Amino acid sequence: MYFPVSSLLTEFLILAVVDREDSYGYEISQTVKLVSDIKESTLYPILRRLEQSGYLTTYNRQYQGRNRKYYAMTDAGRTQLAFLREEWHAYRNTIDDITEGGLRG
Amino acid sequence: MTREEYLRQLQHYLKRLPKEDYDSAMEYFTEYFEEAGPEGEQAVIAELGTPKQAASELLRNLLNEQIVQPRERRSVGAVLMIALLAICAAPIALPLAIAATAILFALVLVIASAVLCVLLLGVCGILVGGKLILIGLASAGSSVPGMCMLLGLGLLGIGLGILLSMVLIALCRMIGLLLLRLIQWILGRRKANR
Repeated sequence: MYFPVSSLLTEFLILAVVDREDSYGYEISQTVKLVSDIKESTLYPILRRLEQSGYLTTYNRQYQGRNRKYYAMTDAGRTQLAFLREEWHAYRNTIDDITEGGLRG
Repeated sequence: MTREEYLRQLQHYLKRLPKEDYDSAMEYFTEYFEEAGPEGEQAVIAELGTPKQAASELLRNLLNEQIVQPRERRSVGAVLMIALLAICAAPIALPLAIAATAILFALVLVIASAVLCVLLLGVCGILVGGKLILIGLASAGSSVPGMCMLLGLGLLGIGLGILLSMVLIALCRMIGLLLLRLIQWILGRRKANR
């Protein structure tokens, strides 16, 4: 898509994906790539930071004879997601008001 | 290039990362290739670029994420190691990489010496203070005002010493952060120039 997706917005997307259902790297990546042309070398460090910050935990599960690392939410992750969601709504609404509702400062 | 060959080269560029970071990154990319399957292999490689390019971007982004993440304190050594690797893997000519590494090394040395100086000053303050207090106590018999003055000076010395040490700790933290920002800036500029 045409608009750039920032690192923070990527964090929001990842948390939202994992919040709905535990997920693994490839699936998360494919979902984020629906809206962003992010490279794996950028996405992985964000995922890693979320894990290290205690927003996500991981566990391993076998899938077709090989290992899959699953990501799951923590309480801190849910708090962060709620915060980001609120911020996103405020952001989106303001953009809409300006571009479609004729809002002026 | 096959998947095995690609991962082997990537491994080569990342192997000096702190073990935990290295294992985690290799695991992720190995799994990613597996999920993409044989038919998706070339697409993944096309997205990542050459192993060197992928490693360089990966290291720079890891470094950036380390810096914006205030929650978990990584050891300064581990972060500096990532920084060093990011410089070496950056798409700049080898002599430049060596120069950048040398400058980084020199900066660390200069800062370490400065820190040592301040530390010694603090220790001296505390030692001199202690000695003055002892002399003051010893001279209690001969002159009470003299004793008071010596005790006062002694306490002043100790206080200054402790203050210096505290300032030092804050200073170290700040300098470390500044250093990392500098590296980030160097690496960021390279990207902007391309």
